[in-house]
Amino acid sequence: MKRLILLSIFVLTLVTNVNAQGNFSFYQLREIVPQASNLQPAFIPQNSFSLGLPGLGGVGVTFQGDFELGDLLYKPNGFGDYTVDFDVLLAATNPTNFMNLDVTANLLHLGIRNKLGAFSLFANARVKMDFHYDDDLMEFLANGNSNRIGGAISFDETMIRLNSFHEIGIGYAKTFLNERLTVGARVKMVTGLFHASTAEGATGSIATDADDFTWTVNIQNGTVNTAGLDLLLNESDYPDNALQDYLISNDNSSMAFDIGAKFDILKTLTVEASVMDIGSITWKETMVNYNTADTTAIISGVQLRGLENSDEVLEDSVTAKFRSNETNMSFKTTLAKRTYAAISYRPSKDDRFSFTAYNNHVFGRFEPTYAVSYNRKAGQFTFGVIGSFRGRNNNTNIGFNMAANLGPFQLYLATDNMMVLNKPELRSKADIRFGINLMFGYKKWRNPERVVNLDEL
Amino acid sequence: MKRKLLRQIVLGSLLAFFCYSCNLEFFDNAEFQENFTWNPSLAIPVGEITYTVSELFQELNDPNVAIVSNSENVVTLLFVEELEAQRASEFLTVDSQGFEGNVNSGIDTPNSPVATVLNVSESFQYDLTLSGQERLDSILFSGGNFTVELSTTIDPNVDFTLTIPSLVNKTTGLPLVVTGSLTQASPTFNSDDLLSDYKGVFTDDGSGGVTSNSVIVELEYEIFVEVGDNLNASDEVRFDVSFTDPEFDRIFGNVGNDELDLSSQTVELDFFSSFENGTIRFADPQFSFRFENSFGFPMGVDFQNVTARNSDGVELALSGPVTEAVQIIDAPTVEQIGQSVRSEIVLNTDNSNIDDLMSHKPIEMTFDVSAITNPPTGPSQYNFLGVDDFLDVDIEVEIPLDIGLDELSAEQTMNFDNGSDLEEVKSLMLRLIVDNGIPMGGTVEMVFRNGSTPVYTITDRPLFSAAPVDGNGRVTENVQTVTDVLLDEDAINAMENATSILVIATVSTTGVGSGQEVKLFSDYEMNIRVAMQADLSISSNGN
Repeated sequence: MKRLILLSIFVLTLVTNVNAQGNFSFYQLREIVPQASNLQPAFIPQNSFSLGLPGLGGVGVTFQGDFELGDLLYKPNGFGDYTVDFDVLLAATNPTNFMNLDVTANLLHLGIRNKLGAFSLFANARVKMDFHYDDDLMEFLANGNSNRIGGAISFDETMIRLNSFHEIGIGYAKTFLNERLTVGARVKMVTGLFHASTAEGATGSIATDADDFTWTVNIQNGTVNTAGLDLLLNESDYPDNALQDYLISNDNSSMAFDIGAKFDILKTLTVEASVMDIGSITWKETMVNYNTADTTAIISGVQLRGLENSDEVLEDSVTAKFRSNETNMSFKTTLAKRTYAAISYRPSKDDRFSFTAYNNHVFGRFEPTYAVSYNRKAGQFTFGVIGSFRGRNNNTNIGFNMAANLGPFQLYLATDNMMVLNKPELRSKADIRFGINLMFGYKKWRNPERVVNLDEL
Repeated sequence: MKRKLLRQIVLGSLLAFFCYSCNLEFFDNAEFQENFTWNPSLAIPVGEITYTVSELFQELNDPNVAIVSNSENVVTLLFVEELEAQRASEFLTVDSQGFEGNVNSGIDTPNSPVATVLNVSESFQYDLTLSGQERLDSILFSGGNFTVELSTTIDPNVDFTLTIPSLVNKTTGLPLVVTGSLTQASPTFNSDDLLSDYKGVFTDDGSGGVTSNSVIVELEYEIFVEVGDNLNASDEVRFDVSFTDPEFDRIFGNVGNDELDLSSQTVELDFFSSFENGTIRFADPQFSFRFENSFGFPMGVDFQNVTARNSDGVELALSGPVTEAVQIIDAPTVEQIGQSVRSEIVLNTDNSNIDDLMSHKPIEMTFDVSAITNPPTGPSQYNFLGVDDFLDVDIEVEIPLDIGLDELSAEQTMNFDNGSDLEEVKSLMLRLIVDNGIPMGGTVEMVFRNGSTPVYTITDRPLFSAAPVDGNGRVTENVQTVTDVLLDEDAINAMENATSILVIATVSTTGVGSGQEVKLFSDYEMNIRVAMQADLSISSNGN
C-alpha cells in the first residue's frame, strides 16, 4: 500500500507548471503510428490497413508538474524517510503553477487508406486532470497567513478541472495540391463519465487586517461542479449496476472535433498545425453542484463574554457567515483544446528535424511549450530524440521515440523524458506512450525505391 | 545490412544509456514518515469583549456588592448589610416578684365575754421590681400566674377580702378581688389565677396621687369572735401576693435612659480584598444607617466604635461630628402603636472621615453601635413597648466611583485548564488591542502557576491607557493601546503545566498625580480585541 501511495505521489509530483506536456516525442512518430492521428488528424498512416487492438493499441500516461519529486517526497537532510514539507514545496513554487495528468487508453483504432484518402475509426478512454494554482496557495499551506498580515492571500488562480470521458469517432484525411497539402478532421462522440471543476470565474481570497488580524474572506462564484463522482462516493445510494450502466451510456454526451493540416512549403520544409478536442460536454446526469453564495465575510472572532465550548462557538460563528448548498443543476464544460504547431526540415528522405510548439488551452491559458527533435527512418524502423523545454527555468527534457514494424506487428514507444529513471527525485515530469498495432499493406503506399526488404533488416 | 547495424547501434545505445543512467537510490529503504507534521503560522482574530465600568468592577467578584448608577449616572458601588435586630424581649423583661404584708387584729380580747364581729383593713403600696430605670404606668399581661397566699394566727374565724386595684380584669374592668375564710382548722388560703386576664395599672400611689411602678394591695377582714374566744392584738392575717413568670403584650410608661447594645458586628468587604499596593481615594462615599423602630421611645445612637481594618491589620476609627453626639432614632407615638418609624442617619464626608475609611481599603468593618433610650437631645414622648416591637438596622454603603487611583494594584486568580490546548503551539504572539473610553489606565502582570508555584510570568506591561477628560470631568476621546505579548516555546511549555493565573492589574486614573479625581460614568466602555499569531506544529498523529 505504501508503494502505491509513493507511486501516486510520484505521479502527482511529476504533474506541475508548464501547461501540460505535449507528447512531443509521440507526435514525431507521425504517419508511422496510426494513433498519432490523436494529435494531428492530418497524419495519414502509411498502411492500407491498421488495427490497434483493444488493450494493446496504445496507452499513454503523462504526469507533469513543477515540483521535483524530491520537493514533495522530501527527505530531511537528504536521507531517511519521506515527509511532506510545505516550506520546501513553497520554495519550489513559481508565481503560477500547473499540475497535469493525462491518461489516454486507445480502445480501438481501425485505419483504412485508399485512393480517396485515409479513414479511421477510433475509441479512446481518457482521463485528464488540470490543476492550476499560484504561489499564494502554497504560501498559505506553508506559512499560513502570517506573512501576509496587512495583505491578502488570493486563491483566484486556484483552479482544478478533472475530466474523464470516452470518445468514439471517425476520421478522414486527404491530400491536395499534388500531395503538398494534407487536411484531416475527426468527429467524435464524447461521453462524459466523471467530472470535477471549479466554476468559471470562481475566486476567493483571505485578507488579514494588519492590526487585529481580522479576516475578510471574499468568495465569488464559489461553485464546484461535479458529475459521476457521487456514484463512486455514495455507491450504496444507487441501484446495483448503476455505475456499470452509467459508464456504458449516459446523458452526458456531445459531439467534438479534431482538425489538422500540413503543408509542404518546399520539398524539404513542412509546416503543420492541429487543434484537438473542439467541443464541450453538457453534464446532465449525476450532477452535484456545491455552491457557496457570493460572500464578503468579516471574521473578527467571537464574543468572549461567557464563552464556553470555544471551538464550537468559533466554528458556528464562521459557518454562519457563509451560505452553502448543494444543487443538481446541469452544467456545460468545454473540452480542454490542445494545439500543435510544427515546422519540419527534411535534409534527406530519412532524416527530419522539427520544431514543435504545443499548448494546452485549459483555463483559457496560452502558455505553449516547445521541443526540437530529430528523427531518422531506417526502413521499417524509426527512431528519434527530442529535447523539450518546460517547467521553471525552462528545464530541458531529453526524450526519444522508436517504432518498428516487425511483419504485421508494429511496436512503438515514446517518451518526452527518458532521464526520469536517473535520480527521479530531480525530475518533474514523466510520460510514456507505447502500443502494438497490426499493420497491413505497407508497401502499397511507398515508392518502389523506398520499399525495404525486411530480410535485409 | 547497414540499416540493421544502425538499428542495433541505436537499440544498444539506448539500453546502455538506461542501464548507465538508471539511479533509483531515492527509493531505497525509504518509507513515508508515519507522523506528518504541519507547521503553519496563523494570524487569527480571537474575539472581543466590551466592558462597561460596572462590568469591570463586577469582575472583582464580590457578590455582596451591587453595581448601580446614581442620579448623576456615576457608577456606584452599593453594599447593604443588615445588622442584628433588637427585640422587645431582649430589651425589657418583668421578673417574677412578690408582695407580702400582714395586718394585725389590733385588739386584745382575752376570753371574750361576748360574741362580736371585728373589722380590720389596711392598704399597702409596693414598687415593681424592674431591671433598669423604667417607670411603668401599665402592663398588659399576656402570661404568667398570679398567686395569693393568706394565713392567720387569729383563733376566731376570719372572712377576708384581698383587693388588688393594680390588677384590673381585662374583661370586667374591675380590680382583682380575692375573698375567703380562715379558721383555726384551716388557717391558710391559697388561690391561683392567670395574669393574662389582667392588666397592671401602676399609677396609683395609694394616697390619691399619680405615680408609676406602684402596686396597691388592700386587705380587709372580719373576725367573728365568739364568747370565750381569745384574741390578741398581735394576731394577724398575712398575705403573700406573687407575679410568677409574668409576660406582657405591651407596657406603657417610661423606659428611662437605658443603654442598648444595638450591634457589634463585623462585616467583610471582599471588594477591597482584591486591592494590594497603591492608593485609592473615594471623593464621596456615604454610609446610610437605616433604622426601623416600632419601640415607643426615641433612641440616640453612638457611632464612636465604628472601625475599618485593612489587609495589613491596621484599624482606622470613624471620627467626625457624627461621632461626637448621639444620633436620634425617632419612635412611633401612642397613636402609632403597632407601626414603625424609619430613621436614616447618613455618614458622609461632611460629618465624618468616611472617605478616609474607604480609602483605607478596608477588608472588614466593625460596627459596635450602641444606643440610649430617651436621649436628652431627643424628643420627649410617652413610652410604650410591645412584645413584638423591634428595632431593625441596616447599613447601605454607597460609594460613587468618583475616585482617584494611584498605582492601585488588584489581584485576581483565575483557573487555567487550557494547558493542553497549547500542545500544538510552538510560539505565540498574543495581541491585545484596548480601545479605552475610561479615564483609568493600567498595567497587567500575569503569573501562571501550578498550584502555588509560579511556572511562567508575563511581566508587568502597559495594557490600557487612561482616557483624557475635559473640564467637566467627561472623557473627551478614547485611547487605543496595542500590546503584543510574545511567548516562545519555553514559555508555552511552562504554561502547559499551569493550573491558575494570577492577574495583577495596576491602575491609575487620569490626573491622579495632580490630585484630580474622576467620575466613572455608566456609559464609559473599554473594548478589548484579542488576536494572536501562532506558530503551530500540528501532527497527524495528534501528538
